[in-house]
Amino acid sequence: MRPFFPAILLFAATAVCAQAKPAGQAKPPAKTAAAAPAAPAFQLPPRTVGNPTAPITIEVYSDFECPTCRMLYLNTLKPLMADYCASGKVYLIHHDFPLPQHHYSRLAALWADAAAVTGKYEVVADALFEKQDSWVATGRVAEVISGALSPADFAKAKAAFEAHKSDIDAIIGADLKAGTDLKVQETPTTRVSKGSQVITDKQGGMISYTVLKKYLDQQLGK
Amino acid sequence: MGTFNIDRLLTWARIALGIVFTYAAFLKVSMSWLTFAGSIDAYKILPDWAITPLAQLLPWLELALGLLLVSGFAVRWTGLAVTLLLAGFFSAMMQAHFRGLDIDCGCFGPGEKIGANTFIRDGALVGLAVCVTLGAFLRRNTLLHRVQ
Repeated sequence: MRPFFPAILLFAATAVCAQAKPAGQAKPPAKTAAAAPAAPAFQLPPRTVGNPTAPITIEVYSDFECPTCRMLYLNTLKPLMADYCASGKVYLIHHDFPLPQHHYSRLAALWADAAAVTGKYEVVADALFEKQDSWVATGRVAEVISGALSPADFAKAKAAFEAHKSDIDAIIGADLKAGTDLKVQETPTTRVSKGSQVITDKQGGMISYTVLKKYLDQQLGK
Repeated sequence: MGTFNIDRLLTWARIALGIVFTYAAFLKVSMSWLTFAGSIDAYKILPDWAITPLAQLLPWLELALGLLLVSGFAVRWTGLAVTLLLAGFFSAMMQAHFRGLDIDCGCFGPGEKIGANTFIRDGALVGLAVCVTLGAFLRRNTLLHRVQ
């Protein structure tokens, strides 16, 4: 007699466990970048794209100096913003997660966040990723920011950077703590929620736009 | 007596391999397929269009093969399929290593970088799968000879 019994038992156990442990978690995502724990008094405009009431929320923990974050931003997040955030289907939240081994990533995050006061966070983030090779070699982050913004906006960003450097640094610290609490181990890490349900807990590394698009279409179609 | 012991050893090896496959499949099935798609994507072997179907189908294939191995049904062909699959995984890890890709193995979900541990473990699994498959084919031939 074929020993099917163990396989049947194993299948039943797998099915029961798969049902008992759904992919999603009930913990709702933070809807704004400033919703991280112990938010300091100085508030930045949210580093988000899209409508907060969008059916899907994507949170990205990234580091401006990390090459994979660059690839994710330029090849995946940019088309995502144009196609899904602009149409109100996805709400994208940026979280800073500068890794300690990267010399200038915290400085880049400080400048990018300071530039958020001008409403040009995405412009600056795009420039920082596009020109990553140059400022990572020299540390001249401010040059990239001034090249990306108009003189008036750069002056505003610089003023925010100088006046609120420690506050912005505290906001970055709060983002880092939020990521650490979620057990983020690498950058970039992406977290996807549908309503209040986390449907992809932690996706570490690069994900191509084609694959992400298919996933989002599947989720939006449900 | 000697044959009996080898048979018994191969049976335990088959069941162990089946449990490992089922466990790996369970971890992948219970998480979002996007996470596994990311792991496959990181190897940079397959075109984008192939990643999504593979990420959705492979865990179920692993589960089916694992359960078949545990049940002892069609061991020769299941063993062959498992051997080929494991050899494929091992080759993918090797090419990633030699291309200098610092990526997750994706074998048992996220968070395990390719390194000595993954090579030793997956190499041992390939060896086990080869033994189970060869054993099943040889055993069948021996039985056929006995019948004739």
